[in-house]
Amino acid sequence: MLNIQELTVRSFSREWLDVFWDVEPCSDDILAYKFVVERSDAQFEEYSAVGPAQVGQFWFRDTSVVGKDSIYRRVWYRLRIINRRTGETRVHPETGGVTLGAKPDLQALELARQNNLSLRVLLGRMVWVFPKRRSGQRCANCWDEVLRKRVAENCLSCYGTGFAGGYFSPIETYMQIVSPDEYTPQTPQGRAEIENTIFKLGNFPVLGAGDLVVEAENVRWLVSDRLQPVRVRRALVRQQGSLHRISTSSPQFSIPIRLSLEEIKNLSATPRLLYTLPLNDSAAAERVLASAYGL
Amino acid sequence: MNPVSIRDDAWQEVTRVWTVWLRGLFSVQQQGSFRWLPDDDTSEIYIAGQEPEDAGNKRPRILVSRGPVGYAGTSINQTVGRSTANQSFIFSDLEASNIVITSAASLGAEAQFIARYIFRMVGPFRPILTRQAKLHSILTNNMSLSSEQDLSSLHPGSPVPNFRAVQVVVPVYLQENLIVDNSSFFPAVENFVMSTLRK
Repeated sequence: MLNIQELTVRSFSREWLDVFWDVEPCSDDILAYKFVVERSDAQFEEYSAVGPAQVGQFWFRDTSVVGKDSIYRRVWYRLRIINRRTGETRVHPETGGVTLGAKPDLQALELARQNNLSLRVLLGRMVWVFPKRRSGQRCANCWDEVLRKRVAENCLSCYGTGFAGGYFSPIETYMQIVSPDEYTPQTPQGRAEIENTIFKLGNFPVLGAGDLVVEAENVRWLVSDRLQPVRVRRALVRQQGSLHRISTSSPQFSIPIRLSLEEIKNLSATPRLLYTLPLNDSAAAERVLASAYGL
Repeated sequence: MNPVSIRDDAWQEVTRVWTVWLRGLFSVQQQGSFRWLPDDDTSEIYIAGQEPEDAGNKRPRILVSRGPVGYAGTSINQTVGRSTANQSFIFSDLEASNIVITSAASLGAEAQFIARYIFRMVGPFRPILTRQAKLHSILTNNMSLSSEQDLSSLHPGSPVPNFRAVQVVVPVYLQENLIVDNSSFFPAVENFVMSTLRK
């Protein structure tokens, strides 16, 4: 089976995106394989082919990209490689996809790795991120195609996003959420309960405004409209920004978390090391951290 | 008289009809002359209601909204046809408001060009707009075209003009007729009020 060396997305046009790939040197007959470029609005799911299968060509121009007027809209690509004789299939990359962006250099990769590690073993807590749908089938229940906005609250078809289904499948990750102030001001409309805070996250998953974050205690947040992605030479290293806690009457609170009773019972969102790591014993701490680093 | 769907809101429907009319107006334009197409990526202009959720950075754009509504006071005590037999009557008046069409573009000249075109087209299409939006009347003789407004504060930092708007304001009237009778709705509300206040 062929191995893909690199999959790259580039473009200097708003009308298309070019996808390039290189094949690792091999002794296989290259013409025995066909390549299908697949695209998705989500990094990890719902990929579908955007063109016909290609043989002996290592470039594809996608002219069907939508959302050209948005700076922040991302589309993800992956490559399906099919052996024409045996029918054997594999995708590259095996998980996720690539988007228009700079290839991280070694320094950026190391910064991202250290940041991800510190979140996983010390600073962060496990959360589920539900990426918001930003394109696709509009909600038949609440979306007004003429006015171009939602006209019904608490829609359980789109969970307040305007797109059928509302959110993609959750992604488990570690995020540092700063303890928020609990603010209960008296307003002319009644007493309000407001919580806003800030977060830090690694380079994965790539967040956007409106994404839903669920904590193990069922505290649910929406990623606010101001994000601060930290990039090193245009490669994403970590993300930080603001979160707004949603009320229990929000439609997003109806999104189910599909865990078994056993999983819920044994759920531990805080890194396990923090329950066992003898922080006053530096030698033991170094051993644990070395093991976490794989040293 | 029971609560109805939000899509049955009369003013919402008026806004929708005007938005559809504007799309029609610009869908028949030549390519390169702000032709509207259902596909946002190929459309040369974006047309929607107030505060759309998917406008992105698309310009030029036309947004349709409704101004404040007030009763015009066109009947004595806003009541007509009171029946002496069962005291039923029709609550009747005209609701006066404005349809505000905002034309926004990168350049003020372009925003004004589009706004002025709409301004001129309302008159010829007044019959169909009145009929389809179920309006009582459209006062084209009191329409106004605003001066150019600078909206660059919405997109700060640009060294060149990037967001200007011109508004077309069209006074419109909607007829309101509510039959107040002895059906279950009005007595039920009245009974609730009276029984609650007696406690």
